[in-house]
Amino acid sequence: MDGFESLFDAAAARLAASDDGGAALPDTQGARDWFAAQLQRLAADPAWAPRRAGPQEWIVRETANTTGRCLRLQPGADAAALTEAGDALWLPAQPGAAVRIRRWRSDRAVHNDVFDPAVRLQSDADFALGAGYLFRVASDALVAHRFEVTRPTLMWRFDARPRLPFVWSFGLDGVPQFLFPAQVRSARLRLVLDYLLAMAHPGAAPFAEALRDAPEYFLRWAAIRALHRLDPTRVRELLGAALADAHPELRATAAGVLAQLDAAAAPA
Amino acid sequence: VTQRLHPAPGAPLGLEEFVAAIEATVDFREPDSLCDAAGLLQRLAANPDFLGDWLLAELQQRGDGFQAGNFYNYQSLVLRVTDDYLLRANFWLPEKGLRRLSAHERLAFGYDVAHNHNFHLLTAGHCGSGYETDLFHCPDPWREYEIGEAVLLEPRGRERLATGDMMFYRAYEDVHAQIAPETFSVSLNLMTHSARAAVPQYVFDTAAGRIAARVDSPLDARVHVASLARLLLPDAAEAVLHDIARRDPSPRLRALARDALAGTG
Repeated sequence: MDGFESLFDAAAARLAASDDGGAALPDTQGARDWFAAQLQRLAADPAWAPRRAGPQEWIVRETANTTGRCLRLQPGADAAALTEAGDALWLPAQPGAAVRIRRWRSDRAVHNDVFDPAVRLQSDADFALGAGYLFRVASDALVAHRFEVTRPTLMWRFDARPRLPFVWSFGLDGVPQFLFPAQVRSARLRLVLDYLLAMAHPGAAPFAEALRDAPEYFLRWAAIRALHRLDPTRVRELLGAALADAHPELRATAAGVLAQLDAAAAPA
Repeated sequence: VTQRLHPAPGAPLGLEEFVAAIEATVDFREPDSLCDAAGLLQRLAANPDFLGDWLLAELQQRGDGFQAGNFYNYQSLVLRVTDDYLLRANFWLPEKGLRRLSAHERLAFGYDVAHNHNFHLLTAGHCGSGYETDLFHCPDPWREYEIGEAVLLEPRGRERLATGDMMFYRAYEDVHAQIAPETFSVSLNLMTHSARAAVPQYVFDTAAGRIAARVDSPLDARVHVASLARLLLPDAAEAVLHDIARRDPSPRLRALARDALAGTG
């Protein structure tokens, strides 16, 4: 097994482990040798172009549960801070890399999928990367990191599959800007639902039923709208169930529509 | 020049039949051969069930791994990729569906962005009103332009890719800008892979008649990886960059490698 595969597997195992106590971080020496082999391949094969490599990062391997990449840290401030949606492991790729990590945490407990403009990020920790840093995401707090370097520095980063449905973007003043789905898959599911409805496909209804349990509130709401479109007689059943949804905006919307239906049904 | 194609109508095809037919008959190195597949793609597009059936089967089979390895924006779903071609379905949201999206996401659909391709693309309207597209011809597509350089595109009118319509966009020379459709629409794209291009793919400012941006090429990854490796293995990485800068057949890659060595890339 080559050096990156070994590092990837060790990182994936570490991310999947429930107990982090005392376990050593994976050794990156083999990955350095692997990188040398990639350079040899570049030199020998002009037809080969690695996939998913950009100026600042190379997503080397992606499985259902783990994404592994190398990335270049640059000196200078970012324009925004993005929160973490899943567990992550950062390792220095260069011996003696001098990296400081600044961490921010929301000033109160939050629902990841309910945008609250009053939430603020506050500085939580400031420490040296050292041999590596393993981060575990929590469901009731937003956490963002910034990696600070004085010269360009190469890192390994391994991400577990996101456990939170949304990523929040904050300005560096700690004020939230917007949130977006942590996985592109959820946006694609929305398009699939739109398509099945447009084509009156017989699979539209069961697919919409399945999306009523999606972790993303916009998929749950799209499912309700789709099922109503397929069978308007279910409107009160669907909205009634939505009154118990975990998302407050979805509950409020359902209550509002039900109130309109009641008003329209009342005798003049 | 962008062609609207009018193949003889035929019975709808299933996806497996379509794949078998094109893999037996199309020479993807020849744009005329790809054009000859218009009838097959139109017959696939005329099948109202195949895509829904395929999507649900893929979701059932792959679960959370649905479209894993598809690195396009979320509007594109990849149905099949081989060494010779790629088949995908592109979803087009109408304006009313875009209002809830950010400007960044709107841009991701490519609306109102004039661009060319570095691959040949045969496309069919599968459902919906279809996007409209303003067409242009680039009179000198085989040279490299600088950002901001003047380029006088020749307007070729506006077309719509409605359900059942077929279009063929030739690599480099055909430029187009899509306009959001009136209703939710899906097109099917049968396309060759990006050429190992001596010429980049561009975004055009048609109003000003200038090159607005250069589109990244998958081949740029050769330089990106060597640049990243330079932090870890400077001697070996710089040797690779020097080699690309001197000997790569693409002027674009040679320039990228020179920029990387100079620290400006």
